[in-house]
Amino acid sequence: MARNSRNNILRMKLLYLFALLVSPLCAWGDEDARFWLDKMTQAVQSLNYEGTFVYMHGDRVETMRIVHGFDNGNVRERLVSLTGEAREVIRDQDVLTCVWPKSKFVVVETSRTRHGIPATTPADSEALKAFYDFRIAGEDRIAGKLCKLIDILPKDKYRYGYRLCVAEESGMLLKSAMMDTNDKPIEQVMFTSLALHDEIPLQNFESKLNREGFTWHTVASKDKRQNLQSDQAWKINDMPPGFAVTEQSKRQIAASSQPVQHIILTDGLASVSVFIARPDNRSELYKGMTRSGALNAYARDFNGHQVTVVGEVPRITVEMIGESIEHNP
Amino acid sequence: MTNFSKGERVSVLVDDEAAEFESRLSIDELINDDDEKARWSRYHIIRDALQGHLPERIDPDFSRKVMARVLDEAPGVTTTSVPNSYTKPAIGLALAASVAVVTVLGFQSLTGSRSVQMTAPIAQTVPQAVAPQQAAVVAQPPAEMRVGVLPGIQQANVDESMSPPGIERADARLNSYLVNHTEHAPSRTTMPYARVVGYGPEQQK
Repeated sequence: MARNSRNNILRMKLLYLFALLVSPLCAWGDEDARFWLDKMTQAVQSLNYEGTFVYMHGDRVETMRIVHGFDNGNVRERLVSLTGEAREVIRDQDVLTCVWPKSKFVVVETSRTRHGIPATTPADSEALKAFYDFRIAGEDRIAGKLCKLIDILPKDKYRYGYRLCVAEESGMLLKSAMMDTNDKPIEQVMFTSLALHDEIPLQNFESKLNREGFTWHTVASKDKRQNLQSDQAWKINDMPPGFAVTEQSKRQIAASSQPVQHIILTDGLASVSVFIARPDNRSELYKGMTRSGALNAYARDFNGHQVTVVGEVPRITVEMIGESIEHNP
Repeated sequence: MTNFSKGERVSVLVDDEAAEFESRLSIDELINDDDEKARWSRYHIIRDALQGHLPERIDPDFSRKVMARVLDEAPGVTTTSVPNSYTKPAIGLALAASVAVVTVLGFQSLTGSRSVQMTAPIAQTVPQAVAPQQAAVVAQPPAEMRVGVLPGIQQANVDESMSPPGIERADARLNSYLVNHTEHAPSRTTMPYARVVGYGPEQQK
């Protein structure tokens, strides 16, 4: 009896040991990768951090410094280029200020929260399974921190793939690469140093540039910060599977004399913006395709309206969306 | 190439931009200078990384080394692209952030004036109290009616007749759209504003 009991205990111990050995392998699956993606999305937005990262796109390598703060649901961020011209973007809850020191220009756009639109929340990562494969590809060490390597592989040609490295401790994104349909990196970001803080002094978000003599372009009047009634007659008839319109708004932006209708489509990871505006004159219309890093843009004229489609998706996707736009009152 | 700094000359060499004679001169100098040899090695690694010639899986040590070396460069030196900007026409649109370049021209076109620069401090230059129409950026009436093309176009249907101011206007609006896209539809998988701050036209391949 005692011997049987000892055998049972031994069997239990072996089973427990087996479970311990096997469980990490099971966790390295699709579900775990999506867990890390959600954790990363949350961390990038809600942590307080300062760091330096390298941004690579096309033939260019640039170094940038970021200060990011989150307080009571409000995001503050300052991003400044450390190489070449000290270009700078400063975000707070009201405005987004872009400073171009060489050209002495400041462009001020209203922030998302100013329009009453809440900050982005993680998409339903379960729904992403239909269009992407997720897997944990191992571990790496970036900026002195251990991180999980996550591969997100598109199942069709309408979206890019991603390789991410997410800090194991904080969930912070330490490295990201967007991969084209041939699995070649087209845009990469990698931190070289990163420090997390409980709190960041407000002065760290302030521009150190002397802006005297700069020319400002802004949508300054109070009225223009309000959303206008969007034109619901604009329809997108054809979009890749998994994409859906998540927002429609109409507002004034700094570079347009006329209000611009902004339609946002997303599949949960990739986003596409459609901007529609009627220029003052037909000569201001432009058309064609262009690209910068992972971003593709497609423009066309629709009955005197300028339609511009912009997104971190392959050319085929912005083209498909842009060509299918119609106005059906 | 003789007007370039040593660093730029090495970069030109790495990018195969130098003429044969200049290459020989530079290589002779390079052989006798340890710093330049190290720079040569760094630029090759960076170029290969950018052109996707490195192995798919790069070991952690490698990426740390490359990035540490990029950061070691003196401020203001963009290691791979400085020579290119002299020697190759930049076909690509500076869509990302080239607001730095295009906004100057583009916004000046949009305002209908080339002398809009203001010298007053910030608080005075932002016209908070002016009427909406005055505050708006107003387009200059065009000289003729035609449809332009996107700068950096990759399609065959290029309207070569488009005037520079038209291209500038398109650039300015595109960059404004980029900023608005980034703010309202931010990417979850990168530092979204890197594209806005990132500078300069890309070499289209």
